[in-house]
This record gives sequence, structure tokens and C-alpha cells, in this order.
Amino acid sequence: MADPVLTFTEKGIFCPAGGFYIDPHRKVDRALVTHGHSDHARPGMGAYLTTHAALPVIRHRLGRIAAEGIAWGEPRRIGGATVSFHPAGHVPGSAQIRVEVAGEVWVVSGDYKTEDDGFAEAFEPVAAHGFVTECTFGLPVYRWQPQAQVTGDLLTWWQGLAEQRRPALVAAWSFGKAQRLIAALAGLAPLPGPILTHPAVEAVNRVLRTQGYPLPDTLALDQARPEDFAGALILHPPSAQGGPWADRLADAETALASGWAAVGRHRQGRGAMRGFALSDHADWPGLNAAIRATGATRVVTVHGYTGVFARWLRDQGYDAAAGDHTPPRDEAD
Amino acid sequence: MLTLAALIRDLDADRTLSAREAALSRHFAAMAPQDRLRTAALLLGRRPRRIASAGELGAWAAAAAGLPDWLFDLCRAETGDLAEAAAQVLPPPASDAGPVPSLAEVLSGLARLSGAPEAERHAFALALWGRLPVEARHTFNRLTTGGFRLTLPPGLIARALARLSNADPATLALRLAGDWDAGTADPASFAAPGEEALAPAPFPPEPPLAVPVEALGPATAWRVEPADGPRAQLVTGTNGAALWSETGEPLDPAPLAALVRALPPGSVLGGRLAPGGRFRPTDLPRLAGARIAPGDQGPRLAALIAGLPAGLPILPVPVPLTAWIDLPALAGPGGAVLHPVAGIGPRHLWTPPPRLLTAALIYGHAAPGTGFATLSFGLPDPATAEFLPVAQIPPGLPQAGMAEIAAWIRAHTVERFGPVRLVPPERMFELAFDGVAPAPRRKAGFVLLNPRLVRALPQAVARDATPLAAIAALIRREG
Repeated sequence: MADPVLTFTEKGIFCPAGGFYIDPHRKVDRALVTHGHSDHARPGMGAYLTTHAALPVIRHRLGRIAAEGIAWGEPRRIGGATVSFHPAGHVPGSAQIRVEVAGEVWVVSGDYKTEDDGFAEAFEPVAAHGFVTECTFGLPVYRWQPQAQVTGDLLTWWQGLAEQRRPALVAAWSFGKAQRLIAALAGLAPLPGPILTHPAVEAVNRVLRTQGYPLPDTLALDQARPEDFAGALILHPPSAQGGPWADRLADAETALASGWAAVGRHRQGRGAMRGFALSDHADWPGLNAAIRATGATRVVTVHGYTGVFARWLRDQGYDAAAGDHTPPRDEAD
Repeated sequence: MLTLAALIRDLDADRTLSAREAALSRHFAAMAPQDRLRTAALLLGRRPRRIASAGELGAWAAAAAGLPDWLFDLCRAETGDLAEAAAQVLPPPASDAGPVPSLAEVLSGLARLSGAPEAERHAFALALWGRLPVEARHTFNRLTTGGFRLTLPPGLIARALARLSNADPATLALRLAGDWDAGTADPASFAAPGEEALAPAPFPPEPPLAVPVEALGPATAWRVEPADGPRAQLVTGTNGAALWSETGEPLDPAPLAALVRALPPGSVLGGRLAPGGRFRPTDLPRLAGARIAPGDQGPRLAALIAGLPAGLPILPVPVPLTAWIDLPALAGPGGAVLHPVAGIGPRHLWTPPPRLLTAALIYGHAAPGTGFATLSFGLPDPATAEFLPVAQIPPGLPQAGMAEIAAWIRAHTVERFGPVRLVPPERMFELAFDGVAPAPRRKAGFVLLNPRLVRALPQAVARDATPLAAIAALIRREG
């Protein structure tokens, strides 16, 4: 019997025919990388292959690496496998990776979301025999509202604070979520105040602007004057500790912009007063729809509620199993 | 229902009294007057009877969402809240679902269906789920299962309502705290002025003293009032009386009925509710309808009390101090309030310097999120060498320190009791506390007053712990 197209090893998802790993979590010679988040693009690989669109952020984060970009949909022969990269809709440049070996097609989703956020390249279903799906939010309680509604709610909240000259402090992932929010809010102008960004967010903004992603100008926190804070929306990574600007935020209201905000105890556990359930991952209906759209009969679940989601998929008639050796779910979203 | 759900979201977001009052007022403004009273009733704890058990609601939601029981159970575990899980597993209302139900429709449905056959209750829940957005569905689910538990004090609700009209907040608060029915109450007469206002006067500030008492000059310039209970004001009228807390909440004046009868109507007597149902007067801002200037209140109060019949539940007014060294003995558990003898000028709240002890960490109480909500500390019982709990307090250590302790607790858990983890008494901490009170039902026999975590003592070991007897002795010494 021939080798499977993909195997799930301690180092990550491996393609024996092509001799490469996808989003490996240990050092390997050849890595195909879906996107620039740190639990997918890790340092220390011999060579990286990723989309042209994802490469600048990966270089920004990993420094000097041997990396090559590839166009959307461009087939590339690697050993006995043919690979191509297709938009995953997660963050700018994020890809699903299609792997074909001897006529059998598998798609590794990376992280993905099915709603078009108007900023990242929109998710495209790719026909496959087998689908490796993330399931960060693979429980039926996770159902997102349309982006327009969530950003509208966020704007209303910000306007209320701006009228009181108070800052609105939003925890959002520094690559992806923050820029998506900035772009979506820009579409709702006029805004009640300036958008200030944590230096980690602003650094990614600069990279994406250089690439040509349509991001309006934002002001880094460390460049802001004291009067800029009243009525401002401030975007910072969830892990950010106070900086020299912390005392200007004493009367801020805090919010979490994340899929985790959909559940009250997760929002409270992250210390936010408000939650805006805006996720860059697929929700429960999105996961199920994406799997259906591939036409795949075999599904491997990774990242998240892998066992639960695989059991559900088996109940639905899929040949589904949890991928072994997957690292803990992405808490970042 | 939408406004009620949004109100609850805002009440949860910022729990300070001022933010809650502002949120109430903002959302009341968006409601019809009758809905304001319906909402007020819910927030005062006057809730409809539940129409579904937890089991029924879960079964209805799982079936409506097409989920197997095992998967719905996981959803319930994920949210830790049945009402939330049941609200979120269902798709949003269809665009042609019909109008979002009003609060009145929901409440009348709940009232009508209490005790009805399951089929009717089930049909009602399904019909409303189909018309309610997720957030409002969550609130609805809490009402259907009796899980709506948020309550607010009547004074706070009254202040928010009063912002919308020219009603007197004190009159409103007393009406809200009284006997009324949200279904039949008339909003107009609710907000109408009363026959007489029983409003409190402003409470004179008692800020904590920031300097040593000696900086206040000679002790003889001050009188001492033990801080041994909450501040309150007793307001008398011709047809009744009101007792107000410092935060503007109506309290039950019945225990002070004899005092009320002895006071002239139209008086405001300020003071402190001391232990034993007694009142210690300190202020007399109004007497028989006449306002009294601060400087005159001392003598007028003394004269009033001298003329009162014997046997009333009142304690003597603050006593003059002769020397600063006497202050600790005259203080109550919360310290002492220093009043200027002249009756004019600022007061100060003096609190005794904290006492310190060395205790061992013995339990961690896991929080729903990640870390530990509270930690329990114990002192050794010499007879058994067992560490008996004396304080359960929030961690309050810098983030990094707490993360290390949380990891240590997880790694050294001896036994688990639900969310509580027992650990060996190996990690020592310095605690501060203001006093001790006897507590016969506690293993230690006492509780620490206002205990707080000062610092970790990484070098200390179990035998460095303060002996239990040393703390117990404080009770005997201080009575």
C-alpha cells in the first residue's frame, strides 16, 4: 500500500512523497507555511515556501530566513507531490495548501474563516479527497454575527466613550485582527476619534501598507500626544503590558475583539469589560460549510476541539479523526 | 427585550455604582414608562416564576439546534451557563421572523405558562427563540429558568429613574422598596411627589486620615466615635420614617421604631448603626422641619438626646479624647472617626495600623477563567499541627508572582474538592489584618477582619507561621 499523502508527526504535518512539512512546530529542512502567525510560521526551518502576500510579515517576524514566495494557485512540483496555495481568508496572505500525490488531493486549511472580511484575500473552497481542518472554534456555541454588525456595535460603543472623552481600549491580535478592524472602521467614517496603535500593531501596519493593503494612517501610541487619547480607539495585542502611556488609559473602557468574546466566561477570564465576537477563524456553521464545500470524504481535525469535532463529523458520515501531535489550540484569536 | 438585554450587558461591563446608574438611566430613557417599572421590578428581585427546568431548556435547545445531547452538554460546559449555551447554539432569527418580542409579551407569557403542560411551555420558548437575537435570547432563557439573578438596590434604580423626570429620588426609592406590582403600578403616580419627602441630608465626609494623628494637634480638640457599623440617617415624617444608608439605599427603620416615635417629625438624625440594633447619633442636620447649621448640631443633638425618654436603643454621642494614646482602645473594628470638638471642620477616619502575621497557603479556589480567584491561608493548631484556615482573600500579587503560585498550586495539589485545591503548607505569606472577631463555627475560632496579602515569604517555612494561639489571644485582650 502506498504511503498516505500526509502523515501527522511530532514535527508537524508531513508529506512523504514531497519530503516537506506544513507549518512544522520543530526544526525541519523544508517548510510550507500557511501564514505568519507564530504558531504556524516558526523560526529555524532550512527553507520556507509561502505566498508572496504572506512573505513580508513572515520576514518581518523571523528575520533572515531562506524563504521563497509563490503566487496564488501556482502549481509547484516538490518531489512526488504537486502543491499550490489558495486563499484561506484568515489574515492577509494566509493560505490553504493543496497537496496532490498520484491523483489523490489533500488540502491543509491552515487557519481560515469563511466570511469575506473585505481585507484579507477571501476564502476559496478547494475540491479535495481529504481535508485537514482547524477547529479553534469547533463547538456549536461559536456562531459569529456578520462583520458589519460587530463593527457597527463596536463603533457605537466607541462613540459613547468618545462623547465622554474617554479612551476605548481594544485588545486585538497585532497581525490580522487589528488591521481588519482598522480597515472595517475606516469604511464607517466619520469616526469619533483617532485610532492609536500599540507599536507591535503599527509595525505590522507598516509592512502591510508597503505591500499595498489598503490601510488608512494610524498613530502609534508612543508617538501620540496626551490630548490624542481622549476619545481615541486604542488597539493593542492581548498580551501587551502597560507602557509609558498606561497612565493615560486610567479611565478607558476595555474590550476584547476575538471569537472568545462570544462566551461570557472567556471574555471575563481575559479581563475585558466588553466583548466583540470578531474572529479570524471559522465559526461552527463556517467549519461545517467549508468541509462540505471541499467535497472531501476524509477529514482530519487539528488545532482546537479536535476530538469533539471529529466525533461530530463521524456522526455526519465523514471518515474523520483528530490529527495527532497538533500543538495546543491557537489562543491568539 | 432588546433594551433589557443591552442594559444587562452594560450593567455587567462596568459594575461601579456611578456607571450602573448612568447605564440604567440611559436605557430607561429608551423604554416606555411601564417597561421602566417592569425592568425595575426584575432588578429588584421580583422575578416571574420559572417555566422550564434546566433539563427541559437544555433538551429543547439541543433538539431545536439539531445537536446530540453529548455535544450540547459540551456547549454547556464551555459556557458554564445553560442559558447562554441554549441561546448561542441556535441560528439567528430569520429575516421574516416577525417583530422582536417586547418585555411585556415575554413577562405575560411567563406568567401565563407557569404550571402549564410542557408542550405549551416548549412551544412558547421555541416561538420566542425564533424572534429573539442571541443576546436577548440569553436574557429570555435566564427568565424562563429562574436564572435571572442580577439585583440592584432600590436607591440606585430610583436615582436613575429620577434623572428622567423631576421626581424625588428618595420618594422613588421608598416606593420601589415598598410593596408594589409591576403589572398594575401606574408610572405617573409612581413618579408623583409624595405627601412628604423623607429624603436624607448629605452625609458629612469622613475621609481616611493620611497623616499620623499627632499631626492633628492636641487630642483634646477631638471627640471619638468608634467605627463599628455602617453610617445611616434616620428621617422622621408625620406618617412614617425612613432609614437611609450612606449610599442612598432605604433600610428598614422598624428596629428603631421606639426612637422614631420619640423624635419630632421632620427631623434627620445622622449616625451609625452599631452592633445590637442600636444607633449612635452624631449629626442633627434637621430638627422638626428646621435646618440646623453644622456648628450648632453638637449642642442641639446633646439637648435632644437629654430630653429623650430612657430605654431607647441609642448609644452615647462621641466622647471627648484626652490623649492620643487612648485612641486605639476607643476605636471600633473599622477604626474611629475623629470629630472636631468645636463641631466645625473636617472629620477624619482613623484606622489602626495593620497587624501582620505569617501564614501558609493551604487552598486555591480556581476561577472559571484561568487562575485562582481566592487563596486560603492557615495557621497551625499546636494540638494537631494541622493548619486551620483563617483567611480567604483574592491573590493581589503582581501578575508574574501569581502565575508562579498558580502553577505551584497545580503541581502540588494534594486533594481536590470541586474547584478547590488543597496544597501542603509549604508556601508562606505575610498577611495584614485590622483585627479579629470571634467565630465559634470556624475551626480556628475566629476570623481576621479585612485580611489582605502583603507579600510572599520565599525563605520562610511552616514552623515560621504565627501560632494560632497568638491571634486568638488578641480576642481575649481586646474583648
